[in-house]
Amino acid sequence: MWVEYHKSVGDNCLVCGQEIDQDELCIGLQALPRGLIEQVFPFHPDKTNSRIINLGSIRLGKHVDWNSLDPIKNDDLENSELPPIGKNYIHLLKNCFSPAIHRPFQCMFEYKSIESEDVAMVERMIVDWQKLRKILSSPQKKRKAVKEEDEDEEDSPSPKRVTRSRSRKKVVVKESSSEEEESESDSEEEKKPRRSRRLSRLSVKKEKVKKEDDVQDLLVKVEEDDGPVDEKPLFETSCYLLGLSDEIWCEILEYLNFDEYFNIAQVSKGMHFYSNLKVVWKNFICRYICPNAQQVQTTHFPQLEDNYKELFMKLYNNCCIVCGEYLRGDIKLDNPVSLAQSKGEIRLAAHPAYYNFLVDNCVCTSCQSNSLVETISKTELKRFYNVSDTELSDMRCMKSPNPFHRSTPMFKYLISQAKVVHQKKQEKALLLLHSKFKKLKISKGAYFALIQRGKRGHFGNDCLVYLALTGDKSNYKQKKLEEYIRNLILTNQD
Amino acid sequence: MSETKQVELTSKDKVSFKVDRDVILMSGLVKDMLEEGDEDETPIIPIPNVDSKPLQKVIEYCQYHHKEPAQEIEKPLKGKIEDVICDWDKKFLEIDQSLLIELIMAANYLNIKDLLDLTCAKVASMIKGKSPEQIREMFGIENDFTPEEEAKIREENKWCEEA
Repeated sequence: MWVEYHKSVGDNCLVCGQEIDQDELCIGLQALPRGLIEQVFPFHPDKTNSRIINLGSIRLGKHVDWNSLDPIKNDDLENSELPPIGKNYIHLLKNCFSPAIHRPFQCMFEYKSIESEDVAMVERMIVDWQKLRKILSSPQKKRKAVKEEDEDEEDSPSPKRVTRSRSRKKVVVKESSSEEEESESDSEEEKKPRRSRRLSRLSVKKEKVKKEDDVQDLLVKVEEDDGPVDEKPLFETSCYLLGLSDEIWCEILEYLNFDEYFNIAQVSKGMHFYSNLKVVWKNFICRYICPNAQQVQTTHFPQLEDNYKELFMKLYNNCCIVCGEYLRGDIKLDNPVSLAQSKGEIRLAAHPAYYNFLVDNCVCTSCQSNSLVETISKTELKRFYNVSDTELSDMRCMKSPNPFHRSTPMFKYLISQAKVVHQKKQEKALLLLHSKFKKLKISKGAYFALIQRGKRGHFGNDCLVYLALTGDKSNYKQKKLEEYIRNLILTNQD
Repeated sequence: MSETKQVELTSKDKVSFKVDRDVILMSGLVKDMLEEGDEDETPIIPIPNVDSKPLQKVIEYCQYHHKEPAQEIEKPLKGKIEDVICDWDKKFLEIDQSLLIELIMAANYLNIKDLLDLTCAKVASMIKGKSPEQIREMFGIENDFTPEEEAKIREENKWCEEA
């Protein structure tokens, strides 16, 4: 994680999705290799996007044709072209980085290439974040904040809130942008001079954000006044395209990804009708995005009763990727500012959304302890999963404070991601073994089928293939495994 | 020695097929009909909605898969269907498009879930990764959108490109 002046054009903030201006100070972050870990999370929205699945296939080396009878060449694996690792950015001055998500320490950020006055500002921001973090992690004050928040929800907004203590104000600042502006403008004179530069920058940014917010609200209002533009469907009745009934088309569409639904809608009116069927989208949402989508629709989107395609667009990226729970119950999805704040929001009872930078998505409060989002240190990762430095450079990591050396950060990786890399590495190694069985005249397809059966536990839990592919550590010897597979092939040929 | 009980299926074009009772029990429709009828005789079951060609394919499928149950096909398909089905199914699906559509209808009518899944997945696999123009060409579908409607749909689909 580093701080830099944004140079490229067209990059959006990872958290709020808004564009990052040129020369704006931002936090840079290594891009998450797409397609690698989407498969691990049960309700990851990108799991059903063929573009991303294909990217993943390239990364995982699925371009190797398992069923081809040609002898495998080592060069095929060595020279496999991986897409270059990119960069992601987060706004520094728009509160997109949430200290509650990741504990901020100076050692976590690199800011060598920025001007000294900005370095000082970043350092001050880190100090402020740490204070905020301290307040939030203090059980007594946290309880108080949550209690007060609940009271505020019940009553109408009270003017007393603006004149509350400093610590309380900090919590409120994160809860709502309008309150933040109010509290800051009212107490600007009381601020210490060392923060003036930062605040002036912040106020300029916030004015801009407020303007955008107002424009957005106005647009929503105009739309509401005018009513729906043209809600009439293009093709209202079933057309028995190719002579197949609606039920069969629903069945066919279940095998496609959501981007392909959008694609086939352009084919003809008949295809448009089928790709927009409520039942198709309902099944899709319930299966891959949000299991209780119907309840979410009734509670939060009553106007979308017959438009589950629209509901899908609303829920996409707004549900927990582990359990599928809808996370933006109290957020206006049409308002980008409100949505952005909720994505990087601090963890309070009213805001269960938790943006996890390691997975580039949201995980709800109850899923924080899930093994899928568990992290591991670099040393342990190397020890248990046999991951090389090159592979590590491909994986997103977060720096954390090191309890042993205060000035040296600790690198944390996602265990689930490490497992995927580890498993694919072992599969590649087993594929390379295939070339050693030439005399046995076994096709690559049959060999791989055998390996897959072994992996599924077909030959028992003490099978070496099973242990090699499912064990956390590669505790098998290559020669022993080779001999074992040879015997396995011979036994199965009989 | 007891002989295997047989069932006679008569297609729409009046062609008869004698099949083992155990084999054709894969069909939910035939199973229901057999449960109602007399067990001692060789029952004749008319299949008025299915022609002899697809019916023959259906019987072929049942004969193979009543002993070797078909593997479930993942939804949504991650790649080509050929990557997830067995070699026999791959050969079985090497048929022309019109027969494939007839086979889907036959599987649906005879209520053979595994065959319906396989054939539907095959159609989905044919659609996968193709542009709208290619899909039209493949299935012989006419583009009946007006330019305005086309523009509207393109606008609808912008979200997907950004997602």
